[in-house]
Amino acid sequence: MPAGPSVLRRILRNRSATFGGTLLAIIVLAALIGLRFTPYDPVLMDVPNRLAEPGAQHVLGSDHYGRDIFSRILNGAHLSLLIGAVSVLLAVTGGLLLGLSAGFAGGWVDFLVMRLIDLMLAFPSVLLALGIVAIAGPSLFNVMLAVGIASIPTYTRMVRASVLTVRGLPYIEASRALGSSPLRTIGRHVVPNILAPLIVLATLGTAGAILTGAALSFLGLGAQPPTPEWGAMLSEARNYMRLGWWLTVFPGLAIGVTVLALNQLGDGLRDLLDPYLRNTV
Amino acid sequence: MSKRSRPNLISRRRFIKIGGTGAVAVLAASCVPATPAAPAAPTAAPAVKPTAAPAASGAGKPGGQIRYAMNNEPDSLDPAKTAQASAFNVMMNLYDTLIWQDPGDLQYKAGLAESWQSSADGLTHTFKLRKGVKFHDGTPFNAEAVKFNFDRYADPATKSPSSTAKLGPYAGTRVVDEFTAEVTLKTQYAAFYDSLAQTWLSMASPTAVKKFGDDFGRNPVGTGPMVFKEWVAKDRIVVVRNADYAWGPAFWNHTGPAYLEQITFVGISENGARLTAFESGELQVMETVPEGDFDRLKKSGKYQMVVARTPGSPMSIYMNTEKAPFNDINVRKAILHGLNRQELINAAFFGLYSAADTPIADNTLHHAKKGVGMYPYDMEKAKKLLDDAGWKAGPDGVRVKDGQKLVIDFVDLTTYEPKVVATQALLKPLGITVNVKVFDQATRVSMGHKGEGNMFSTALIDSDPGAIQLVFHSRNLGGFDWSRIKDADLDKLLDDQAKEPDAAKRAALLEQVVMKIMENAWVYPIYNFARLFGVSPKVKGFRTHPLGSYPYLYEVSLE
Repeated sequence: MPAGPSVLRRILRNRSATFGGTLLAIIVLAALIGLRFTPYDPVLMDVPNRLAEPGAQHVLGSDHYGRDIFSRILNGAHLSLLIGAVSVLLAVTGGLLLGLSAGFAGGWVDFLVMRLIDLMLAFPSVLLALGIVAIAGPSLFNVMLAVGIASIPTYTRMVRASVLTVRGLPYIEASRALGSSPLRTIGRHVVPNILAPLIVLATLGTAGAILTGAALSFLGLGAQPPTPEWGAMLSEARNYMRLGWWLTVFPGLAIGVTVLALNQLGDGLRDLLDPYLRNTV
Repeated sequence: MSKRSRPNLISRRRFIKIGGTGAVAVLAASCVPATPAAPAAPTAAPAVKPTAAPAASGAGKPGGQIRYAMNNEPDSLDPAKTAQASAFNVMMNLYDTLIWQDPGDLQYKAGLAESWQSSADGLTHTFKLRKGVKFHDGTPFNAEAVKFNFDRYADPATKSPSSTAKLGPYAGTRVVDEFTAEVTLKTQYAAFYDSLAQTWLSMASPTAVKKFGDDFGRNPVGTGPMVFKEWVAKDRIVVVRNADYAWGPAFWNHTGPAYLEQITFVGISENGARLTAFESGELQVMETVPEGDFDRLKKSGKYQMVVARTPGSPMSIYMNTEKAPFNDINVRKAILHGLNRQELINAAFFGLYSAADTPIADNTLHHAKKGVGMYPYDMEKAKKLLDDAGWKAGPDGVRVKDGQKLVIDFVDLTTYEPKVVATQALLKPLGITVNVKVFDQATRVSMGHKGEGNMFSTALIDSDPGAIQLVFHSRNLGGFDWSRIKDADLDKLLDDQAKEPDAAKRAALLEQVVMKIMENAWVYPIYNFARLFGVSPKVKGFRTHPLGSYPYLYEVSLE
């Protein structure tokens, strides 16, 4: 690894990374607080105070059942983050396994894996996720599973390409020559060297996963009422959007800001970690 | 045209045929309508006044045209080939029935039949027909036409989704003379006149039916106040004034031709799009206004917002008695006592509907007052019932019995989600967890039929109270008997009332039916079903058929 300023300092010097990272940290913190503490019970109906405009009583207004929108967004934050994190973790794990075996083993393993991946890529990932949830049944967990599985092909291809790049490099050959087992070679030398692009892709992928998860919940396939998942909130509110703009605007904004934070962070990380870009900055 | 080709658009209100009984019920589906929340004060009046606006007396101004938006396009305009509410809507203008039900007193009045007589055994019915009536194609209306239509409706080869069942135990029609038709029935049939007053049994031109064959549904010819002009698929159906019309029922607000020169029916399934078109003034009448928007438009004071109550059975929750926990009567009773009806109506429907607590709505013939108020809201009693049934409060507040949590799957239509979510919130303090399971129409109906779930909901629209057999008779197990009731006594009562020609005796039988259902806590009625119309202030004389969903556009005029 090239010597230089510490990773943290480099991140801090990068504007998008700092901005995205800070925003994300705030969101994560809010999500953690929202798990426990919210101004109102997020599922408590208060019909006489339904559709209250944003104000002193309800910061972001109340919905058609009189539930406090701010409390719901806060309480639902961890769900969106969880969807993003779990599904990407799943996709990265799957992608690593498949990509490494395809890239490292080559031959018929490579052929089989890549044809499978081609098959999956033939479907738009949202469609694939939709299909999986339709089969597995609507639930938050199934959404994570579906989004994760649907994003495996991207990671697999990326990992495989990276493996192919490093496979022929002298230090891998050296490792082999020293008698390392293939697993050791992969674990000690291949994976660390393909980690950088993987981190960038995973960060950007988390944003996409949150968006897809919200979309599936919007379609009624994800979080079930009264869970205040953001996509589900949008879906419930759309029938009442003519009665109060705040019903749809704030959950939408919450999704937008989170995705923005992750995208910014991802962009910044790419600038930092991409060796070609790094030298030119 | 396949009726099932676009289930999302057309299945909003489904009519379900039940073989043999002659009852056809409308299963009100996604359109969630309303009536002002008036306390159901018990009155002595035998027939409850409909909520629709009274007939405008005095003359409206002839001329002009309106655009009328429904939430779907009909599948056919042949009374024999459709079962859709939207088709009924249009057909009411194109066809006449032999008799009409007066929305004022709910009695049957002369239509194409001037008078009629029933034999003492209730099996032979002789109709004296009005003279000088002509179909739109010039074919004269006579006893031959009555025979032609009834024979066609009764013929299994017609494969009618509603008319055959409505005609019930029809044996045949004899043409006594040109203007006298004698209809015979195989068995007694209490709902016969009620059926005759519905458009499913209206008079179509025999000449046109023969000429167009299967295409008659796209080229309808009747005797009604409006004449079919054109049908542009997925866009509009246009009908124009019948200048010769002079045979409407006496309770209409005027005689002679209709006021309006033209009516354009459009089907717009998306609520938002329909609302936008209505608010922009592009439409003069809109059906199925979402409750929240009804409230908003009403408050704006710019429109006539009409609540048209439908007769039949209220919107109710059916509890699956085959599965735990509702196989235990005490748990069902706990729901009847513990679910706050008015709060449910307020939370889910902006308080627009009136509460109902018995299975026959109070605007329906033979509504039984005896069952009203049997299960007042009483949280403590509900809790005690659950305690006694062995469901004890668990550590997380959810009740537990034998290690099982008190969890209920409420299966319903996606558009009915507010009802389910409100039920979930209202049952939570009782220690009951409700899972919201909302699906499209086909899925949720099939789940109800198979009993996959604990709670289901539907309303029933029919002017005859006997229609409730559809949801309570054991022959409909696997059909709409969603509470999965298999009770021989109830079956017998339902069968007996269907044949009882004497009104007082029939009312007594229906009261027994209602009491049996209520004592067993088989159903949780919620509110009186109604449909919500938005009407432009320029439109005068808007009121609806006793079935509630269908306006008499003949009476409508423009300012």
